This record gives sequence, structure tokens and C-alpha cells, in this order.
Amino acid sequence: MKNNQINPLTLCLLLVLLPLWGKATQLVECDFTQSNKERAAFYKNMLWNTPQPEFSDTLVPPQWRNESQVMLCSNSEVLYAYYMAKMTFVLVEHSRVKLQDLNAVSRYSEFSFRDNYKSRGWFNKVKATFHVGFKIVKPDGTEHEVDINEAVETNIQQGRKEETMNKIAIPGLEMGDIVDFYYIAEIKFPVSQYYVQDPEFFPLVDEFPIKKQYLTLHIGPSVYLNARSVNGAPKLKLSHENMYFSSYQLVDSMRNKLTDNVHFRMATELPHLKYHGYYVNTTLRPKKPGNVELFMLGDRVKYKDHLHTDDLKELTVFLSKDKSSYWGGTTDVYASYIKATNRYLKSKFDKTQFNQTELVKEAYYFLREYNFRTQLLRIASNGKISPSIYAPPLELFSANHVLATVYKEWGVPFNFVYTVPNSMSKLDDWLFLNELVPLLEVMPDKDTLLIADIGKESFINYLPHDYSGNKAYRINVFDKEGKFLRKGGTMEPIVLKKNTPDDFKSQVNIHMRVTDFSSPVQLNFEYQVKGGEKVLWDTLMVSAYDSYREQRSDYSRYIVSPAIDHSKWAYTMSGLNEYQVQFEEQRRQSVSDFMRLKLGNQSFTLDSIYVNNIGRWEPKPDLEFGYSATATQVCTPIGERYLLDVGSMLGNKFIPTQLEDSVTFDFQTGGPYEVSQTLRISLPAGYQVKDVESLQKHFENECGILHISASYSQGELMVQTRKAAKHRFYPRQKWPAYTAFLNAGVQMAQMQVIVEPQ
Amino acid sequence: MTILELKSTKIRDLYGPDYKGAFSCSLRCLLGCILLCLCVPMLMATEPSIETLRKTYPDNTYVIKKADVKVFIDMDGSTHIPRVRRIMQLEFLSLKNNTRVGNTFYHTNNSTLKKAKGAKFTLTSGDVNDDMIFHSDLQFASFSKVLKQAGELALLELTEEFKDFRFYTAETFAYPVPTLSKTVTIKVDSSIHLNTHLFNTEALELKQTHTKTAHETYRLEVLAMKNVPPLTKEEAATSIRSNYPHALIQVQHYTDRNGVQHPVFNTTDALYAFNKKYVAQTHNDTALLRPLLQTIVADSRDTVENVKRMYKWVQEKIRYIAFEYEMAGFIPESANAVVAKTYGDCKGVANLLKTFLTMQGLDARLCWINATGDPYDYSIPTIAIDNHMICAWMRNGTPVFLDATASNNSLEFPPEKLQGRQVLIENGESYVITHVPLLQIISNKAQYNFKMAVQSQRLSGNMEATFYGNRRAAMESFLKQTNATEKDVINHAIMNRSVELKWENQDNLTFEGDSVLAYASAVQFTGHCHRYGDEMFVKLCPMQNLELVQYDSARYCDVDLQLRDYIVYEVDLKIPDGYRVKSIPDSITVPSPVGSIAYAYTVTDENTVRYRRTYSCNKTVLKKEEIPDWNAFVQSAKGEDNKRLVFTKIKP
Repeated sequence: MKNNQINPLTLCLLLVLLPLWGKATQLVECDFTQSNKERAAFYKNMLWNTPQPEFSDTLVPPQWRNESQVMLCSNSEVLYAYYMAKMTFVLVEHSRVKLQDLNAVSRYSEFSFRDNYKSRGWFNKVKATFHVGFKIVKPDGTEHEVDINEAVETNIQQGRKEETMNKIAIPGLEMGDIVDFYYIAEIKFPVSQYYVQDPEFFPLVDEFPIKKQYLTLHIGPSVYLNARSVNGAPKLKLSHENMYFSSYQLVDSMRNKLTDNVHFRMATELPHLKYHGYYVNTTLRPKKPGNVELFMLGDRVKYKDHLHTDDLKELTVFLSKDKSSYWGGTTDVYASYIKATNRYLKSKFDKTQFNQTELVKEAYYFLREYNFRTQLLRIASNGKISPSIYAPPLELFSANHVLATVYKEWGVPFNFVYTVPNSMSKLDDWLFLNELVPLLEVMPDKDTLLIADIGKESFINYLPHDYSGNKAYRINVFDKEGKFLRKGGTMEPIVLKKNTPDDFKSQVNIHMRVTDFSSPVQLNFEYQVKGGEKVLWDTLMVSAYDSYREQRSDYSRYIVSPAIDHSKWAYTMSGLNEYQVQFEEQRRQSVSDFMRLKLGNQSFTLDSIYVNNIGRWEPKPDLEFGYSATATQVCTPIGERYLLDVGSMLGNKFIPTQLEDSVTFDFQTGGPYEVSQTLRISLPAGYQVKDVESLQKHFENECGILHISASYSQGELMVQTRKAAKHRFYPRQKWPAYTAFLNAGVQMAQMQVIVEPQ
Repeated sequence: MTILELKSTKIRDLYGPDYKGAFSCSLRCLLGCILLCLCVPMLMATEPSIETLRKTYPDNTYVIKKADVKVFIDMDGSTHIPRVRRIMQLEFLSLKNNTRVGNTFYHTNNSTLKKAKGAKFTLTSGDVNDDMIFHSDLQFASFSKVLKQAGELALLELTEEFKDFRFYTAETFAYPVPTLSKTVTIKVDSSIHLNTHLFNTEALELKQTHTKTAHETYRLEVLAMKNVPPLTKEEAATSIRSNYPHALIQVQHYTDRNGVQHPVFNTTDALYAFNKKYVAQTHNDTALLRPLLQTIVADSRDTVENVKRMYKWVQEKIRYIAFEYEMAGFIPESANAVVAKTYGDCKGVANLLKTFLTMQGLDARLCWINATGDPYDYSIPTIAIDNHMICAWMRNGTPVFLDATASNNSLEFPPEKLQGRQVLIENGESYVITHVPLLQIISNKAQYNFKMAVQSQRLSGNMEATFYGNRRAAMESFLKQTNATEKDVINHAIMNRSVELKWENQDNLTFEGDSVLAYASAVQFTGHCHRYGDEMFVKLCPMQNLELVQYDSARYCDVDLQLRDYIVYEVDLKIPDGYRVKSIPDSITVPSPVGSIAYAYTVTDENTVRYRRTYSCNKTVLKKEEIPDWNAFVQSAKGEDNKRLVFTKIKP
């Protein structure tokens, strides 16, 4: 472990005088006391004039001769250094790309790069300096450097902020040329106690083949590295080390391009390195509650490539004890949530005698609403709301701990559960806090409910698909008898429940009235959505909320009158109510747009729509909504008879039929879910349907079930369908089975029936 | 002297001796005031209430109550050439509580835009980034403010000063929100001769008056208008200038203090002289280009092939990168520089082509043209007319127009956007005005031939698709930009992303010369066949047509259809064994405001039924008044597309 704290001035001097580590010039030799111009010359010399065999390789492997472009060599370096109370980042990207067709020529004919930047203000000043270089290597080996002075500037001003972008056109570029370019960003900013870089993902695969690639991370004193190679990516190896810098390098070669850019999840499919660097002042002692942040958990070593499962337990203990932690739900900033929830529960329940399951749900729903409304107020005030009513938004950890605190107070036992979502990574590979999802397992009246993610689409006992069936760790806070385990209990690996189609059900009733064949058809759709499926519909319908969040400035309109209250700002609810009305309208619009998309037919006109029980804060489990519409082109005349388009009512016309024959990666689908539909078609008097049997269908395979039954009686045709998608994730070998299931659905959407005079 | 007299004197001082105000005596003033007092309540009573405005403009949270634009065009005392200054006063009126009002103004480096002195608002400004243009000197200045109460007003006052009066070319009347009343006052020094030409003002309540100040020092032109419609962002809209009301400004000439008259844009000759002057500043070193040219035309058999090769070389080797900055918008870069850089803007590539052709001893000219469909021609000479440059090869005295920025057009097919447009061709000290030929729509033909047979619930067979002219160029551009081996791309480009048409292989994409693109594939029509007892109902229209889109009849702008089309689907369906044709839909032609669809069903022999659907579109613009008819046409056409022919089993 290297925690050597050295005099910053000495470090500067040493950086200048560092002995060479080899013949080649190294990034760590850069002297930051030099002028920008001198450093630009240093970088140019380092990247273009220092012998690097891989960067002089111009041969394209035969298998890539027909590719649009080939990355012959790419070198990425990140230098982390701390001195003079400043964190210094240097990011180097150096690439040589062979252009093999006109598309590639066009792609590389222009570059944009940022101009040097200094933030305003005396404190927290960020200084960013950029250096670029472009040259073209002709097939005969001649090199033409592009004059950076030819770049044109574009100034972007937004209020006080000003940014200059430079654009440069690459002259003389032709097919067969190699573009050799580099981009270097030096970023310096003051740091006092610690700094943590956001996690970076470095995929080794791109949309073009890569012959050779390097990633080198140079870690200076008091800086630490967490990094992990995932999905078969080569491991980082210590390439150089002296008393100040440790350099870790990843070398990779001959990567084919990403052939399937649709059916893949980067974190679980592509080979990549995830990493971040962080600086911690050595005076900060690790594991001391109140002083350090969560990234400090576990041993502090120069390079760490995995986290111990024990860290999870430590995390929970930490959260429960650390009063100043942002994540800690028991801290003062979240006190208003706890107080408000308890006040609400007291108004609903008798503390001596109550149904624990009901209490658990009520507390959850109340907290969701309270969180939403508090944040709404905060947004409405452009962040200027009085601190007395302000609380940070509840997210993941904090929501769990607020609920846990409340449940503990009401004597409902619970345990903490941690997992990593499918889309992020695997539990075995977790390295960063932001990959981790905390769940709360509550055991009211010896029942077991799992609560996930209060802020977004989740719902009691219906896991988001992203968590379904995942590996997890349970931290036992209470034992099975509901007895509180004072020392945090034990930790055990578990597997979360796997969602089934039963959990995500919806029922659709459709009534189609054909009054006469020359007029548009009248349609009524009624949707009843239950259980987990409601979660998905909720998400759809409140998606407007997120889009509103982005237009934060618009919320200022809801500030009704300042300085009425004793506090600096006061807000009447009238402004909020106006927002609420608009929000409802927006939700209805979302439903309407979705329906149009689903039906995919311009001959449908939406006449009216109703929605009951939607919304994230209403403690009502089922959603009902529906709409009425008129449609043309549903009946095609054939002499005296009509061909009735039954399928367009039942299926999605936009299900892709043009699917790939095979996929490269394991794939993710929209399942599991189950949709049952009942379609009643009232026909005009004097007409009948005979070939009802042609509508009966049954399809079943390992991916899904589609069952269609039909009957005709007294002028009414009734078609009942049940479509169930069984799973969410499939191995790539199952692709043909999955497309067969999808195509069965498409055939349902194409069902027709003949209506003829009696 | 009474107070009123004092005031009128001050006003007179302010406006100078030319001011011939109404305040010649206090009595008249007093009467005027009484009259004003009587009239103001009456005027106010006619002003619509906020409630009325909300109902009239339900989609707007605010309107511009009053816009006052004053344009001063006078002689600069030091340079003795005209100068232009615009003062804009906009009064924003909120229709709802807590409304953010504002506007963004655009201008180029040829003018500066500042807020008026003492004005208390923040103006945000910057460069406009347009991805289509490598560098543009277009800049914006933006103002916004939150009004807390409905009915509250915000005043914006800006001044725009032009560096060169010739770049003041138009006065646009509309803003992004409705304008209740607007006045444009153009005060012109009488030594400057200026014409305003109004466009798209037919539906506007507009009053145009011309007056003169005392001693006729200035001429005043006042354009007073009410209820100016807002600029809307409509899909597939034609250019703003072809839809929205505006005035085109033409400075004809001015007279300096010595009495010498200086022509500006009084005639097309003057405009041509202006253009020619800047073009002449480009110097091409042909000696340096000769070796390159020789490699391009080596082994060429004749002149036409020579031209084709040069055209193709410039299209393929020179990337189009637009650079618009002050006079760089008028002066082409030298041919040598364009070759060296391998990129250039429209002027650069036109000049390079002209240089190449001239070096080959051919008669080649530069041409100025409007490529955005604006409603102007050279009868009103201003620099606002043309915004694009191409090259013309004078083949036996007839121009063949070459636009190298259209990278996939062949010699015979000028880009659709240029066809039929007026063009100014250089001709030494003189010029020629003519039109780019408007080719027959059949030159843009897309022909799909299907040979199909019934197979269970679907039709299976083969397709050959062939594209010509601008349809081919568009298709080729699309395929080159993307990866032509991707199924999705082929589906999107050639089969209109039809859900009913399924192909089985896509390896047969061929380019025949530079004028035809052909594609062949095995295909299926899924769900096109329905069996019922002894009968079989078959739909023959192979795919959904993206052209059949309905438009909102309440839209403001005309629809830009991009391409005149001639699309033929010909399906030969083998009559299934054991079946005969029982009935076929009627052959019919469904007319549209811009063409028609002709449906023809014929039984060609004992074994085959032929379906032919010919969609023709003769115009690139669908006028807004034609939209109801167009929508009815789309409904009818969809009905026809859905029609089925009926086969029945042959009874033994």
C-alpha cells in the first residue's frame, strides 16, 4: 500500500526530473509546469515521434479488407495525479484508422474538438486544456499533417456559460488513407479531502474491427484504482512502477467488429474493463463512520479488482451508524419523510392492533406520494424551497432506510437484500456502489414482501424484470421469528424470485360495432391491468413526469407568489394544482399516443379515452382504462360479402416480421407477460359469419403460448385470445423458437373472416 | 408659451426641421387631446380580452400584442454610401399566469444585434450550429422572461445595424407566436431608390402606405398589418419564404452628394455584375491541374464520356462541406484549393467542374440558382434570389446542368429541387436567364415486377425492382450512406418497411452504369391470401405505401413532396392449380390533386392474373388548399389497395 504523502512542489520537480522508464517518452514524464505550447510539443513528440511499432503497422488483415474502416492501433491512457491541492487528469486517445470506403472518408472528413476552458469564480476552479493532432498517411507512406490553425471557432453562449468548439475539415482525404489523430484532455481541479471518479466502461469491441489496442492507467500518489476486466477482457497488468507512479496496462488485439448492435447488453455481453480512480487524503482514516464515504469500504489498496461480499455487510452496518452519510436514511435530512409517514400511519392504524401487511403497503404508497410531491415542490421552486420543507429525493438506499426505520418503529421485521441488475452487471462482478440495488424484504404477519426502488416503476412484491431471478445477498436484520439481531445478523446468498407471466397480466375487452359496411366501425376498448403488468403501464403513463423534469426552468411558472410566508419563498398549492392538471392531460396523451402506435393504422381515430386508477401514489393495485374509436378500412367489400379484418383489433401490426435468422448474443425480450383479449364483434342485421373454425389456433413452444378460440352466435362473433411470453432472457440458440412465437403473434394480427348475407 | 407649445417645440427639435407636426397651436392640441380622451376608451373596448385571446389561440401561452419595426435607410455622412438600421419593439402579452415569453432572432456576421440602451432584459447570443453546414456565420440573439400574471406585458427593444446595406434583403412579418398587430416603417433617404415587393400577403390584413416627410428629404413606407400568423414547425413543409408573408427589399440605386447615381440592384445586369465581380476574384492555376485531369479523362472515347468522368470524379472525390462566412458566401474557392483539400462548398465544386471542362476545351459556365423553392425569380434582382451555384456545360449551345454537390445524380438527371427553376448562367460580360429542364416524371420511375404464386396463406415468388433518374440517385445515396448489406436498410429503402412483404435474400443489388439501380430478391406476401370454402381471396397490392400519408388540413404550409414520382407495381400471379378466377376488382383510376393511381387487373392467359398499380405524382409541392382532396384520395387509394380478387375451385 502506498500512501506516501509528499511535498507537492517536490512532486512537481520530480515529475520533471523523473528518470526515463524506457526509450519511449512516457505520459508520466509530462511537466505540468511548462506552458501549454511546450506541453503540446511534448505530447506531439510522445505520440508521433517516439518509435511505437504498432503505430507504424499499416497492414489490414485479409479478413477485414471489405470493412468500411479498420482501427489499426489505438492507445488510450489516463493519468491520475494529485499535487498542489489539485487533482490532475490527463486523458490521451491516440488512434490510427484505415479508411477503406467513401463512407469512412466522409466520416473522418470533419472533426470537432473543445477549446480550452476555465470555470469562473475564485473557488472550485476547473481548468481544462485540450491538445489535438491530425495527420494523414497516404498509401505510399507519405504523411501530411493537418494545420490546426485552419480550425474554425464556434462560440456557444448560454446565459453566463460560454464554450468554444473548434471544427476542422481534413483536407486531401481519400480512400485507402490512414487517419492518425490524437486528442488529449488535461483537467485540473481543486480537491480537499477526497475525489471519486464516476465509473468508466471501456469496451474492447466497436462498430469496426480493431487490430491492436492499449489502455494504460497511471496512478499517482494518494490515488487508488478500482478496475475489473469483465466478459473475457484481458486483465490489467502492472507495466511500470516507481515510487510515485504505478502504471497498469491492458493489451488487446484482433477484435472483430460488433456484428449485432441490437441484441446485446454491454455490461453482460461485451468484453470490457470497468474502472475508476479516486483520491483520498491520507489523513482520512478508513472505516470511520462520519468521516469517509462509502467507496472507502474495504481495504484501501493501490489497485483493487473485486469487492468482498463482506463489504456488503459492512455497508449495511455503516449505513445504520453513519449519521452524516448521504445515503443514510436515518439521518436528519430524511427526518421529515419518517415523521410524515409515521404521522400518516398513526392516523390510519391503531398502534396496539393493526394488520401488518396493510401497514407495510400503506407506508410504501404514502412514501411514494410524499416523495413525489416533495420533489415537485422542490422543482417548482427551482431549488429555492425553504430548507424546512426540503428533503433530498428518496433513491434506493435512502428509501429503504426510511421504510426500514418506520417498519422497525411499528414492529414489522425486515431484512436488507442487495443485488445487481441484469442490465448493469452480475453480482459476482460488482465493483461500484452505483451497480448495487438495495431491496427491502419485509415480513409482516409471517408473510414475505419484497420492496424495490420506490422512486420509479417498482411496486411491492413485483420485481422489475431487471432484478428477476438474480443472485443476491440477504443481510439478516431480524431472525425468522421476528427477533431483532442487534449486531446486524448474518449474510447469506439467495436467488430472487423469477417473474412469471402470471405476475404481469392484462385483460383487454374489445367491442366492435359494425352498423353498416359503408360507415366507419365503432370500437370500444377496455383494459384491465393487474399486478406487475400495471407497473409497466404506470411507467408508460407517468413517463411525462420525467420529460417534465428535464424542462426544469418551466417549473418556475408554478411559483405563485414569493414572500407571502415568513420564509423566503412560499408556494400556494394553486400553482401546483395547475401543474397537476397538465400532468393528467399529459398522461392521457401518453395513452393516446401509445394506442395509435400499437394499432399502427392511420384509419383509426381516437374519439374519447378514460383512465382510472393510474398514478404511482395511489394505493390501488389495478388499473382500468379504455377508449373509443372509429375505424375505416376494417371491412373490405368482395361482391356482396365483406372481408373483416379481425386481426388488427387483436395484434400489433408493427411487430417486426423481418427478423434476423440468428443472433450473436443471448437476447432480452419484453416478457414475461400474459395478455388475454376478448373481442366481440356485433354485425349488422342480415349478416353472418360461417368460417369461425378458421380462427381457432393454438401455438406453444418454449418461449410462449398463443391460444385463439372463436364462436358465433346471434349476430355476434366472439374471439378470445391468450398470449403468454414465458421468459425474459434467452440464450442465443433459442432465437428461432422466439421468432416462431413472434410470428404466431403476427399471424394473429393478420386474421380475417368472411361476413356474408344470411 | 404654454406647456403644450413647449412640448411641441421639443418634439420639433427632436425630429428636426422636417417635422411637420400637428402641434401648431395649443388649441389644436387641446382639441386633439379631447378627441383622444374620447377615442381611447372606444379603442380599448375593441381590444380583445385575455379570455377571447385564449380562445382564439388555444395553443399559445402568449402572443405578441404589438410589433413595431422601424427601418432607417440613409446616407452615411462619412462614407457617402447607404446604411441600414432596424429598431424592433416587441410587446409580449401573456395569456396565462407564470408564462415564459421570448423570441430568438437570427442574423449573420453582416449585421450586429444589440438591445436598446437602458433596456432591462438579458439577451443571450451565440453562433447557430447547423450540422448540414460546416461553418455558418449565422448567429442568434435570444430573449426570454417569465410573466407572472395573465395579461402582463413585456417589452423588448432591439437594434440591428448592417455592415453593408446590400445585405438587408427582406423583412419577415411572422414570429413563432401570433402577432396581433405589426407595423413596419421603412424610412428611406430620398437619394436612395428602394422597392419593396410583398409575398404571401393575400390572406393578411395589410395596409401599405407611402408618404414623404417635409421637403421630401425622406420617403416613408408603412406596412401595417393585423393578426399575423405564427411560424409553425410543420412536417414536410416547403420553405418559410414560400409560405409566410414577407417583403423582399430591393435597393435599386442611390445618389451621392455630388449628384452621381450609383446603381445597386436596379437591373439583373447589376446583380450579375455584383456576382461576377466576386467570382472574378477566384484564380485557378490550370497548369497544376492538368496532370490530374489527364488521369481522369485518360482513354475516354468521346466528349460526353469526358464530361461524365469529370462530373463523376468531382462527385466522388470532392466532399461537399458548406462554408458560409461573409463574402466567402459569394467567392468560390480556387479549383486548386478544392482539389488539394478534397472538399469544397457548392461554389467551389462548381468552379472546379467549370475549370476541368474549360481545360478540355469545352464551353462551361457558372450558374446561380435558388435551390430551396423560394418564390422569386430574376425579375426582382436582389442577392436573396439565388442561394446555390452549379455548373453548366454548353453542349452545342444548350446547357447541361451539373450539380456536383448531388453526389449520385448522373449527367442526364439534374437534382429534382433544381428542375424547372430559373437559372442565371454567366456569359462573359453578359448573362443568360433560362430554366433547368423539367424532365418527364417517368424519368424518376421505380418499377417493381413480381412473379408470385399462392402458397398456403401467403404469396411467394420473386421480385425485381429497378430505379431510374432521381429515384435511383436518392436510393443510391441512402444505400451508400448506410450499409447496404443490412437487411433493415434494404427493407427501409426499397420495400418501404412493409410488414407484409418478406424477402428471402438480398444479394442481388446491381448498379447498371450510372442511370439504373436494380435489385432482385425472393419475396413473400404474408397474410395476403384467405381461404373460405371453395374460394380463395387474394390481395395483390404488395406493400404499404409511404406516399399515402394524410396531412392535417388545418396546416399552414404547403407540403414538400421532395420528388415527382412514377412508381409501378406489376404483379403476375399464377392462378393456383384447380382454381379459376371468379371475380377481379374493377380497373380504376383514383385521381389526386398531384397525379393519380391507376389500378388494372387483367387475366393475361389461362394461368396468370396481372395486377398493375401505377402511382404518379406530377408535382413536388402539395398546396395546402389541395390537402382535403389529397386526404380523400389517400382514403380511396387505401380502399383500392385492400381489394381482393377471388378464385374458386374448378368443379370436376
